[in-house]
Amino acid sequence: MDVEFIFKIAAIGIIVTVLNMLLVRSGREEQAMLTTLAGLVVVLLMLVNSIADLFSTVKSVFGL
Amino acid sequence: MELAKIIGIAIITAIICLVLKGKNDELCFAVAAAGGVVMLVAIIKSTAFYLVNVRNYFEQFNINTASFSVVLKALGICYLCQFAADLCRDFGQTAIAGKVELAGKCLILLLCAPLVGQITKIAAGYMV
Repeated sequence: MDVEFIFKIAAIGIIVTVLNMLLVRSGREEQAMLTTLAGLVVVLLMLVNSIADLFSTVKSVFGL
Repeated sequence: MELAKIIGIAIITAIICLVLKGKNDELCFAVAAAGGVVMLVAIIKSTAFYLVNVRNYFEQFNINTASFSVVLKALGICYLCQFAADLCRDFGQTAIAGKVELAGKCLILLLCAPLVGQITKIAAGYMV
């Protein structure tokens, strides 16, 4: 659980946004949409891991 | 954990969110969620030490620690529900945030059910 985790997600976000804009400008809108969805899925997988970590921390601290 | 670290993470997350908002709202949500999770884990890990101390104080003076553990569990449920509800509300999903808060309230109510039984027993003992 570090600041690098946030930077990783931000980097994926910025890269996906730039790719999205490039693909839309060159007329391939479906591929732009697919890239956005793929980036979203990758980021959600990372988020689910970190939220599982949060839940286990809360469980261990508060005795849930 | 230091306060400066938490504040730094918060400001950096807010700035990154601003950059992504409008261009890629879904990943803005993900960045805000990631920032929130990192900060919450850091804060809870640092307050755990203090909570263990409080439990030791209770044991020292022979107060019933079962009721204190109910308070601690309710606090944990509150933190998790508040985190999820605030995140949903930030991105316009007020209804979903309301459902999460309702779930938290119901869970805490279920948690306190044995205590209600104890209180009624004590009250009935005084009334006779």
